[in-house]
Amino acid sequence: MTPPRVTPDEWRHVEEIFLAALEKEGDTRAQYLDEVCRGKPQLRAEVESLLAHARGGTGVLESLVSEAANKLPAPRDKFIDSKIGPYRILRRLDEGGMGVVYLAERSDEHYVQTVAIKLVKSGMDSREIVNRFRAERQILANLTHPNIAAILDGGSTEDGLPYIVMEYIGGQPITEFAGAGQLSVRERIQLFLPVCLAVHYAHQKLVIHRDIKPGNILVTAEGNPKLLDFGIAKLLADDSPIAQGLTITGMRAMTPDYSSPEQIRGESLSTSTDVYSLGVVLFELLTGSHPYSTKGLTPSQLEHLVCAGDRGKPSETAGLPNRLARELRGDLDNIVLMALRTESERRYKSAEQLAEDLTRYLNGQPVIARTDTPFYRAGKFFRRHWTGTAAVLAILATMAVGTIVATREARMAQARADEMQKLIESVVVKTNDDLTNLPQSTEVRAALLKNTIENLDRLAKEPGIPPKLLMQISSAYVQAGIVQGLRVGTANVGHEEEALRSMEKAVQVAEQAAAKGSSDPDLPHVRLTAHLRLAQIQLLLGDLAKAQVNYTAALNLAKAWEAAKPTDPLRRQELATDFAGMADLEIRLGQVHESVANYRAALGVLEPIDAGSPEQIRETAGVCYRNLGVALTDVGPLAAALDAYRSASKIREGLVEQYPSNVRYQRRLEVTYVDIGLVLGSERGMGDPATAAVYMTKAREIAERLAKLDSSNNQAKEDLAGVYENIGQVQSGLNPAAAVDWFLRSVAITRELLEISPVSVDYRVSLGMQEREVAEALGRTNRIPGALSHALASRDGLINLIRSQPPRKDFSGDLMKSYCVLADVQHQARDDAGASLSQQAAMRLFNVVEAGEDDLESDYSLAKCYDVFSRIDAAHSSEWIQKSDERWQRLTAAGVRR
Amino acid sequence: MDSDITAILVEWKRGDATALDRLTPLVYDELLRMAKLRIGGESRDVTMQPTTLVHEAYLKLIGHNRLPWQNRAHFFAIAATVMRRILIDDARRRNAEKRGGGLKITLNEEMDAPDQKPADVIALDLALQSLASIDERKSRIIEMKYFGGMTAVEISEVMGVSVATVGRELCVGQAWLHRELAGSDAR
Repeated sequence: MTPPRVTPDEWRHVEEIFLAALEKEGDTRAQYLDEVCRGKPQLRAEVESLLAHARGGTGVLESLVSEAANKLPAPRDKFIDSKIGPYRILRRLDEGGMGVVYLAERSDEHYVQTVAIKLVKSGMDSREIVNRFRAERQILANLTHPNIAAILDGGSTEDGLPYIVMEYIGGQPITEFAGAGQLSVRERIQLFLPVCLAVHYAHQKLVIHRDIKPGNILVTAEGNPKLLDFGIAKLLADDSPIAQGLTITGMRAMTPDYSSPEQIRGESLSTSTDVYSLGVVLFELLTGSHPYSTKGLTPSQLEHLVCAGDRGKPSETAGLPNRLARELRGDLDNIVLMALRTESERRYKSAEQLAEDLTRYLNGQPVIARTDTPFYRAGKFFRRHWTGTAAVLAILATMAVGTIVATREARMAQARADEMQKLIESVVVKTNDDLTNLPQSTEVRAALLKNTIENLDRLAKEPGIPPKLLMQISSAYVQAGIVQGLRVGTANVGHEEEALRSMEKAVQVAEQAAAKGSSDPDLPHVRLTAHLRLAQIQLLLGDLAKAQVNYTAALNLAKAWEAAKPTDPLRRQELATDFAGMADLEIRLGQVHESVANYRAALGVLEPIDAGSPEQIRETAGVCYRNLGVALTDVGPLAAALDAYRSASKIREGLVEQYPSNVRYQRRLEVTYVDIGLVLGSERGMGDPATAAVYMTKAREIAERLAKLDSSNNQAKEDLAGVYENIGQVQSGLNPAAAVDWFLRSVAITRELLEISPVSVDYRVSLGMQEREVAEALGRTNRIPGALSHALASRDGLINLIRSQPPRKDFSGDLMKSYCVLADVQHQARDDAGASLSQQAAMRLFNVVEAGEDDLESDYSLAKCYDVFSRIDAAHSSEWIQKSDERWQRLTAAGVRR
Repeated sequence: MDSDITAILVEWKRGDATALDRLTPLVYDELLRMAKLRIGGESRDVTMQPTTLVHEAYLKLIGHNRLPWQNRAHFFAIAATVMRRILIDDARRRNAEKRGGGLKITLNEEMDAPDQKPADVIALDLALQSLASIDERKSRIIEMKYFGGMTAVEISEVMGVSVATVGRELCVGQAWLHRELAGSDAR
């Protein structure tokens, strides 16, 4: 167990000083520390290191927790069966932008009441939404009308989530009701009139519905229409205290089919909006069709259609029976069209006026509505020349409500469109430039990244972006994601998640471009890059299923792309990278044989390679050979693994020679030398310790140099500890005394690393293994007391680690090995009782290891255990030998020397 | 279920301090169930806060039994511990297997960024355990704040210290945790 840094008393002291120092600044703080920590440098260091982290803030910790919370798995299900107030929730009826509507029931001795309860959706309790809900409750309590669904009750849950209890209307949408009953035109109008009056009533109470559609006008069995879901009601009078809490723009959770032009444009609304929506409903009610279809339109097309398009007359709707068309022609046409005018000031002044005109029609009296005159049609001419972008700009740069003076606005809009185009181009180009030349300071880098992403996000939302630009945006996201995924500086918590988001967006945007049917030659590359990068991050984060989807997508795209032009080296390179990516995934999935095939496929595409091949290709080939080697080390034959490693080292030597200051290449070369050394000389190796030693020395030289280069780099230290350990492993068979020294050196470094990060699981595992190896080597040289103490340390360290972690197969394997070594050493120390206990403990772990991966590593560990037991458990010696032999059969077949 | 809780609450009001502990398994079940109902098909823009779950669990379990805010605080303290456990269990379950033993060098060299995986809630949990071994109270307070979403006043009620003390404990504890997490990060 790692000892705590300080004793409780010392801790009190540290705390005191820390808090006092926090109050002071600059020189005063330094002076204070001088006084209080005189002669106690460790104390001062402790306080200072805490002070350095005092500004950390709560954000990091909070985000860790909510990150975890957001990853909780969730099968789809409904949140029902609870009680809200005296009502029991039965089922979910509907789900809107910010709330959920449940069917609920209240029952007591005398009667059962069925209601609809609208509740803010859990998890969405942001201030604004809660306020909105509260406001709505208040508003609706004021609305009492036979054609508006009544509010029965309201309240707040214990935690301040407001809910509204409403009359439950079981009925049909008005259009369906009319269709089912085959109502005549007159009957339909008569059904519609009370709806208009109800809307007008609400308008007089300063409430706009904002979301009138057939689904919100339900007709009961008795034929009464009722208006529902004043869900996004807005107050007209701004001075009412409730209105202060509401935002005007905010979430526009409406159906585009029924939205008025001003809603689409995001302008502020008036009662006229509802008139428009009523007009659409009326159109549908009379003709059975919608005045226009908004399905599958891009936002800019939609806008154009609703805001500037001509309206077809109801009577001219395709497929209308002649009689109906005749009936609609003339006055009814005009009434509907008047309600549907794109300019709000030209519609009916109120819902009541609409109702009155309809009544006049029913009574055969002249109506107010007039046909569209040329004067007004001319006004529309200018609007048609707005480009989609200009209209979008209007949203971005909050346009004033009210009448639009066509000519001037149109000119301004055009100028802004040009500006926008320039802005788009500059952001995208700038992104790529900036990201390749990042400044050093972490804060600036972070701010730049954030800014870039925000710009990209805004851009990506624009309607009508050409595919070429989409591709550039996708690439920019990839660039950003790469930078976010890099670990630079300290405390980069959670950046992988951000990188993931960027890559996801990159894929989204790339696919958007593809969906537009673009035949741009660069498109496949952009797409596959996005998928590949996304897959890599997903793999890193452990989301293997999604990684597989994206690796597969990338690979398929790469195959097609390469096949289209096999002589292009870039395409070859990409295809190889994708084969390799697939193989990486398969390793993680445990499909080692498949990964071997894919690495080989990758290499097949890259070869032939020589010193003249491009750097990128050589690097990729090096990685593939190396990984191939590791995979083969796992399943055998070892000779093939050795071949692969040799090929990797040849390539890497070339790279190091050509680019001597590249640390990355050196590290990779070192890794490969270690690989070769282990395959040749470790106990699970081919039995050529002499050659192994040569390679190990080469690896050590590089590792020592790299560690010296940057003394604060923990990775380099960890590598060095690894190399020492590996050297020990190679020496362990023939020269255990020397091996002990190497192992002890690695232990020392690992202990140093644990000082820095006591919580690290990897270091603790490494330490456990290294202690075990020391113990084993000491045992072989007969230095029993030392062997015992290290064996115990190894066992205890691993047990403590396991206690604080969930069971993992590889932990069990390590612990088992520790027990075996301990048993062996105890046996040598003549502690038969102890040896027996250790043996049993090891045997308890057999199941886990035996049931685990079917690879040479497990075979070897078990074989060793059996060998040990055959020595110490004389009674069952022959059984152990037999089991050991079984394992060795496989090992020898793969080329391991016994 | 309802009557169990009511009974426990009654006993607690009567002064049986241990009664609340018996709530723990009920709280666990409820939180876990609710945690599993979370997210899934919901809009991806909504960030789920674990404290929301805690509040909802409260609603479910205690609901209309109007408890004074002090008792609510104790409930949240329990829920915080439970929540932490749920999140850690889940995070561990999710963690990919690493290849231990023998060859320790990372397999997937394409992803060979100079450093390694970020601190996650497991690291936080371990760090909290380490903190607890030095100073139990701070660990508890931090757990209540971050996993239970409790306010300083509520925490002070449960821990029996002043609000100012809670503030100081948080300050020191957070700095300590930051250091701890930064250290494991910069390997």
